Amino acid sequence: MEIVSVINYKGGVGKTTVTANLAGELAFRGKKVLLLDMDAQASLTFSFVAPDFWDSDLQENKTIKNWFDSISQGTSPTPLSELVMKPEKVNEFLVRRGTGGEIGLISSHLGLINVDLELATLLGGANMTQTKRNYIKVHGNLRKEIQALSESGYDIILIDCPPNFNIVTKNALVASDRILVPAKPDYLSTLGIDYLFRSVDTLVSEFNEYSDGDNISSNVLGVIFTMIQFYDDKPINAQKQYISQTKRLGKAPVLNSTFRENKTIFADAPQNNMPVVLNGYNNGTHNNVVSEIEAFVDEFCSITGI
Amino acid sequence: MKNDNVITKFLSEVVAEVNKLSPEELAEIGNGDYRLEIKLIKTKGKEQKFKSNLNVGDSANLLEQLQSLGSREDGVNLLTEHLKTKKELESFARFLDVSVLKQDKIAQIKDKIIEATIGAILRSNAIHGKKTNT
Repeated sequence: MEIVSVINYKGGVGKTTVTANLAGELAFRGKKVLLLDMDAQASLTFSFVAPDFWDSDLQENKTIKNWFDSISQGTSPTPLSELVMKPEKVNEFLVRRGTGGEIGLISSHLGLINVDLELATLLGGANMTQTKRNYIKVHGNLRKEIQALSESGYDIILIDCPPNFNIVTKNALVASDRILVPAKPDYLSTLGIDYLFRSVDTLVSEFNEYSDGDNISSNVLGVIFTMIQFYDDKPINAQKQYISQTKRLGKAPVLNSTFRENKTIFADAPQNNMPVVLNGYNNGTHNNVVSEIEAFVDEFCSITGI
Repeated sequence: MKNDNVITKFLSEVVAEVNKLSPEELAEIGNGDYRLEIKLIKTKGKEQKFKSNLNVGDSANLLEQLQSLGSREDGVNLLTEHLKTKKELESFARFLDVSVLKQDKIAQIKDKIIEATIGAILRSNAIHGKKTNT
């Protein structure tokens, strides 16, 4: 079972689009995928279920917030497996097509933003030993719990992280085998990649210093550039230069695949609760978008071996 | 052009170049520490026929040198030394995928190249808390 966090410090870079489409295509290829939405904006959740369904059926006791609430209250948390729901529309499609794959989802909660403050109260301690123990406890909880999911038959868990570096995000990163970084090829986004790597390095060294041998590593799967504008079948020069610059810097592998900007089909895909990659299109440009996502998933699979 | 015209032109150019020397430089030539040499340099009109596209090997070498430098100023100096024309700068920018506009002046192209190479490294190092000598 592979655990991959999808993260960027900078918001609005297409993180949820990448996660939803990666999950959709992997499930179409027969994989059992679990999505864990850790972003309080709940964009990934609302890409697979309608907000009114979330409000009536999930909000109360079937979100990742319930699990974190138990941690901060010191009570025994509900196992993650009991928080998983199967988004109806996409799974019906997968069954109809006989793919053998499925998508499970642990929803986010708009109140997840407050969880960080509560978890922060558990940090610290009367002495260094206690401080270290609390640090590992607060940041390593999800890791332990996700490892317990390995018997559930999932091929992969994709964690959609919020665009910050708070305790909830750190829990996701500590629990992950690899990190996938969606980024827009522009000046500020490329700076964001560096901020992220710096924070990840700090987290890894702090965690390993306190962990007493149960070490983690910062394994960056790669940077996937998103929202690419094409001209004459190539990314426009203004974006191409930042892709090349990131490759030259060599801080992380840059995937050859990209996500093309296309407001027409990406804008309303979440409302339909179906990732773009699972839709059939008659339009040539729309088909290109789908082919490029498929190429990204090919590359993802060859790197992860999934 | 007849030979005598060539010689006249040649000698007047030598005189003009010697006139540019300072008294100190003339003294150094006089005491034998330095000597004059004649070097043929293509005229500006023919410079247009210089290859405007650097080959990939040259560009790769130049990139390697640029990325090994510690400051933007050193980078500008290196570019000034190696890339004499706007076309050469544009060609190197293309090699780096640096976006150049037609109206960009030489200094702007240099800045863009520097920011995409040394600048990017310096920014990244700064964010990672590594010491740089900008």
